[in-house]
Amino acid sequence: MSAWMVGASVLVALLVPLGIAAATRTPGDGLVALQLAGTVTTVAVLLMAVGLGREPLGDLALVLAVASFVGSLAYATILGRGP
Amino acid sequence: MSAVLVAAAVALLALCVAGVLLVPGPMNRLHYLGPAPIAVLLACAAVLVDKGASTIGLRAVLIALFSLATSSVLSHTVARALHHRREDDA
Repeated sequence: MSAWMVGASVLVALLVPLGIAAATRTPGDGLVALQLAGTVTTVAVLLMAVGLGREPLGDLALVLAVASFVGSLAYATILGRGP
Repeated sequence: MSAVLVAAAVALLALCVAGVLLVPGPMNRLHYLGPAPIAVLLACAAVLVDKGASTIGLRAVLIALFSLATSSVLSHTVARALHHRREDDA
């Protein structure tokens, strides 16, 4: 297994505690965990694209970065408005 | 060289995750999102070192630029939302 895939595997494993934190803690904590999970996922997909030799996955990483930003921004706006 | 950059990026993101999980309070946790764009930059540098000016290298540059440009905006928005929420709770 190459360094790219080892790194991607570690990053995917790091998503598990972030997902648990987002699901079980307060909405504010969940939003912070969601924001970091977006970054972790983007890097993981980029490393997979190189490790697997499939360059189209690089496009997916770029789209994921944009979608993660827009999604987190939307959640933050909704959270700021209150219940 | 690229393996070192990948290891540094993964280690930095692991530290960010540890900080977000272990530090109490969402405002304090928000501080640990700061180094995340640097980790993205390291990963994208690893891709550039290994693949050079290729299609995936261009994608890596775009991801790094986008991450650097938007992370501060997003952190500010999240911090403001948490602040408003805390005021509402009080």
